[in-house]
Amino acid sequence: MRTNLIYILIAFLFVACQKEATEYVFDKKPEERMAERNQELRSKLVSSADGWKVFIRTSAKGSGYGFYMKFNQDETVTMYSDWNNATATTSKTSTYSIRFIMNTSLIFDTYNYIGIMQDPQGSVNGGTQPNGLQSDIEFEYIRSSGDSIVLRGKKYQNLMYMLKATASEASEYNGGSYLNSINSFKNYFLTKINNYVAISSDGANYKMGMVFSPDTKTVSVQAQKPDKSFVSAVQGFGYSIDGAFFTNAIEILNIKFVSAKQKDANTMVLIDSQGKEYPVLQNPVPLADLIDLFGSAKTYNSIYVFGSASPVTAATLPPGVTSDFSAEFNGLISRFAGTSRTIDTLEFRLLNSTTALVKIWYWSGTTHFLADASFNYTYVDGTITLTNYTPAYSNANWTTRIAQIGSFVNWLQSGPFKADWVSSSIPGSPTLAGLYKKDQPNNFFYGRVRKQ
Amino acid sequence: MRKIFIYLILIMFSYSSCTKNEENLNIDLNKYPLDTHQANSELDKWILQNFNTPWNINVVYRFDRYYTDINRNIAAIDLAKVKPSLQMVVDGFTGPYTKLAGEAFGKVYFPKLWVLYGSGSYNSDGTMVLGSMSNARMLNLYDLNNLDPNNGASIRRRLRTVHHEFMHSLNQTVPIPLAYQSISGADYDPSWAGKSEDQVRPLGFVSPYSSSAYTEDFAEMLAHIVVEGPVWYNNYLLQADQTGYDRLKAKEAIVYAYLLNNFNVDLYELQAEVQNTLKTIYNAQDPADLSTGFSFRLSNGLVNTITFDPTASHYTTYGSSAAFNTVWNNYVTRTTGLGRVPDNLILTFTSANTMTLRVNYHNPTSGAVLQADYDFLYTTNANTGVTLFIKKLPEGTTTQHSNGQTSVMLPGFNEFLLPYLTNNIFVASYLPATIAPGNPLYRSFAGFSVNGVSTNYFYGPVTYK
Repeated sequence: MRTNLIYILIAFLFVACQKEATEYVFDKKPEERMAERNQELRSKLVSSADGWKVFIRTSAKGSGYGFYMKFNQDETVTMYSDWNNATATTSKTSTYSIRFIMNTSLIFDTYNYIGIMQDPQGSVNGGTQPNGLQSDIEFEYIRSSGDSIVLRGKKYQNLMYMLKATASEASEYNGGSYLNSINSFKNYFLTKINNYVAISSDGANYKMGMVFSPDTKTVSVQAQKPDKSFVSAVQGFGYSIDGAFFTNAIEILNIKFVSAKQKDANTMVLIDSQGKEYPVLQNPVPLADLIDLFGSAKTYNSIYVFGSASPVTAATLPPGVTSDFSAEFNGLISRFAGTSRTIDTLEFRLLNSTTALVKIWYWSGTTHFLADASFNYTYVDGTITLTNYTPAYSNANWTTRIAQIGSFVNWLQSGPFKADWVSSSIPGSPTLAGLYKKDQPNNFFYGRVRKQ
Repeated sequence: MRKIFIYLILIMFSYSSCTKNEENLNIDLNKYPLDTHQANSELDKWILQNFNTPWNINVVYRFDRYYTDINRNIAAIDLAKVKPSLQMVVDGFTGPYTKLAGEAFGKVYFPKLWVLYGSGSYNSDGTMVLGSMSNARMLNLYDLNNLDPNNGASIRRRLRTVHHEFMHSLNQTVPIPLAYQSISGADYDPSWAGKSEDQVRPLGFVSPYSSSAYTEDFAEMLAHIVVEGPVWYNNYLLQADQTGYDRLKAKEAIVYAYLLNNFNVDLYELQAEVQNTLKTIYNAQDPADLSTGFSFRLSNGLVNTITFDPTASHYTTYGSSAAFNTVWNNYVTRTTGLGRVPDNLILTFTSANTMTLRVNYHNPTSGAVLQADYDFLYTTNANTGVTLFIKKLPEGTTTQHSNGQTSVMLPGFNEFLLPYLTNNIFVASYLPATIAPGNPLYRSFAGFSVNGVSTNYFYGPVTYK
């Protein structure tokens, strides 16, 4: 019995010793793994001698921002930013630290350009006090590959992407070319309108329109499906040295666009997650149907032509378009000119859901007069039908000037008209729309569009 | 017995092996990733020399969310602002205290952890925290990215925070005397934001924030007296009513005794040291001393006379107002036409709200020299100097008053002098503008200009009571 007890005790002894060989759930002790992970991020950051292209998203408006950062061994970081012209051309050095706070964290722990977005003061970044643009200066380390690091803001949870810069990119950033490429990118979308990329998805072809807003640092894209419904997306972007990086990928029609690259002043491509390039093209007219934008309560409600007020010059039809209406228009201008009156604006406006106005503004001496007439209208399937011609809508001038208005009245009553975009042969022409006679498609009144 | 011994040994072994197991789970702190920084920059060396070594103060300038309100967005301090901020502390805080109280004082009482942040720590009501003090140990300073070492006011604002927070630190060591909180007793109100100095001054508070709690009040009293300086403080007292004044002086006395009795620091010596720093190093400017301002003197009945004598040479040297000269000349012409020649004017301020206008004139025929008096009421705003004259009725009964009512003197007065004085709003000040502060004659001339029309004014030598 006692011997048994001894055996049992001896057995206990071994059991206890077996515990010694406990395997870790992970391969090492926690403090070792913490230290390793910190070291992994630190050496990764410092290892890129040419620094990193860095992009962050902010929560306040979804705006994106681009940076170039060079991390040094002595816990200093030098950066440029696309925040403004000065930050794009003048570098600023501050400190960073890598600490383990629930996860390995990169902290920009003294003020630098990345602190501008995080700053609570609205006076610094235009955001709302006390949260600024709702951004972070503390980021946790998520993952990395050979030439990229992904971190996540600790408070606002936005991802920070770091892409390894090449030697030539580094010298461009340090040589002050960042601002030039930002301006070149802005200029591309300032001078080119109706931009789109052609994409195919699920057996259909699409023109995906895009608008880059340099003020809000967001890009919005939109495409119309065969069933006329729209798909769209909005994401922030930060400027890169050769284009823009989307701070979240634009996911649309099963394609993930990750960046835009400007190859030269007139060549731009979008790049998807597979590295495929999609050239940016310009449509001669807006991608959307006019009927979706034109109406008394829509984006535009007025088609107009204009001259200038000082010195007074007569209205002219926009160039680069051939329309039989120009003879009618010139006759109208010259009949007024014959009585020493100068038409400076001619406008067709959808006043409300039933009434359309034709307005003629003209100068007599130094006085500006308005002559207008109203119609009832219907606008169905792109066709505008004018009825119930009523001269002298807001005053008697239309009646007084009826001799000079002359055959234009007949033209107005010769509908129905098809409302549609007008394309101009002049590059960079503003958006034009017109009223085409149904029976004479070459005879159309046209001009710029606006909301009045 | 022997077997029991064996059991015991075996049991001991089994325990000892168990102990071994626990060792394996111990964390090897040598491998633990500590939150330490490389601290070998010039700045770090300077901090070591000026804070760690003499005071055992650890300065945390690298952003750490866990030393402040964890849920707030607060900007990190700019590297370029760290040294100016700390230099300000050396010049305006540790220096003066050490000079007055000795090194031992700072080694014991200076907070040992200073944490610096770039932006303010914003409250939900739009106000912001500029500093905080915890357990007499951790002192946080905020909004340092907006510090401008070349701007005395900017330094003053932040140095006031330092002294304010340090007073909390001392209070966390030696409590505030009980008598203090009863002075403004029921007037403490936590919602201080949006209140003005004018609202809290009659209650005996030195700033709106000090009205929030007696602990803040105590710290604000010290910070304002020491950092804003005697001129500012006296101005503040001058604008207080009797209750406000009495309360402020009572609080001041307690703050003085608290510092002297507990820490052997003289409040006024501390004030002098800090003011010296602010003025010699940071070129801070004191506000204009209200008590020597003309409008203050006038509104308190401390001005005796102002004399306008058109023949005096100072009008040639320092200029005169064409607009006023027209009024005077019209008056002289009108009265001369009636047989009397006005020579000069004397405004005698007989009290804080009454003034007698005397016209010295002569009779060219007889050569007699005479005086005509007219009584006025006036009000002057001590701060802005805005002054209104109103004709006092009934007119006085002296011979001079009767002279003023004669048919030769009254028409000119009624047509020119009376409307000029009573139809305009004046600003009382030291005039002319060409005698600036620094000129030995400054404050020996004073007068009135029409509000908003700086070219329409009259002035003359001033005498005081």
